[in-house]
Amino acid sequence: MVNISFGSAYLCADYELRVTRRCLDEDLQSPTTAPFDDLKKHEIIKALIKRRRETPDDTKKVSPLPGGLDIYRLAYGSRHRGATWYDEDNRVIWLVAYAQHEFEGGGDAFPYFKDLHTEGRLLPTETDYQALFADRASRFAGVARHDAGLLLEAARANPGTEQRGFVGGEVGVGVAVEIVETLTETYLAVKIRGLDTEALPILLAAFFPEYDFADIESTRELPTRSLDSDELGFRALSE
Amino acid sequence: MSVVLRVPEDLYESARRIAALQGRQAGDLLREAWDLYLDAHREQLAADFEDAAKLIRSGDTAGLSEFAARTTEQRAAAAAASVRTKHQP
Repeated sequence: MVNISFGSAYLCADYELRVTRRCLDEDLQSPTTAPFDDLKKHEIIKALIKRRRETPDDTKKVSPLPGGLDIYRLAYGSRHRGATWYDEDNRVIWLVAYAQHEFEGGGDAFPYFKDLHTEGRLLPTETDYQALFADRASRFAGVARHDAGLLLEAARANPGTEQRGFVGGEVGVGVAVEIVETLTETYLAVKIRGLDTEALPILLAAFFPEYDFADIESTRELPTRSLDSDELGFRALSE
Repeated sequence: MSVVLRVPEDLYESARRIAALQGRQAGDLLREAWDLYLDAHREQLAADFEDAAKLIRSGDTAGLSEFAARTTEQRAAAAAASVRTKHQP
């Protein structure tokens, strides 16, 4: 799921693009629950996708801002100006502000962006993060079983060969199956990065839905290799 | 309810630096932390797994979404507090 709109976000390879509620309401004058697809006709959203889907930063910053905050300028034509912030901890590029630049008697867009920061209204709020985490939970829950099923199917069709992929676009995994006579052992390697304690039980349940938890063992090896240092390993045997 | 554990990028960088001082990989430290967490919370993980597996077996995607979103408010409050601490003037 890369380079597509999904709910309130546009999904890129390593992060997602989102618009803060304040920016949606006050600057873009759009409903705060608007799906990202509905925003795509706006010039600054076109610029957001075009300029930020490959790289989180840019050459020009809105500066200077207190606290060494890196807010990057976004432009579309001579009139449309935006401000973006790369929230690396949460893997989001936020469009935090938008204004029309020196148009019909309007002023410079950048002092407006700086004023928003001074007033403590530029960066995402708790409400923005609630929407982010709720969207991610819904996305992960919606596709976890499907993604796991595809990887398991490929692993069963090619015993002894590891199948790698992502579950929910979030968690990197490797799956391998070993078959000895009537016994099938399923191995799962999970990358720590992108994993959290809420996702882990869903991930394990997606790969081992018919098992009891007691039947799932930790392992440091797949049939094909030792685990990397940044991976957790699980395996379960069935007849 | 368990505490949500996820390694933010700045903590990941710290782990990388500490690991370098010890001549180890950041992933080793983080995996050890996960192993400790899994040992200490095995019963909770087992209960959560059984709940999630039941929802998956019954095809209850809405229920699974609700299950996945249990700590959204807690995590949102923590993320917003982190932003305020690090970046607000």
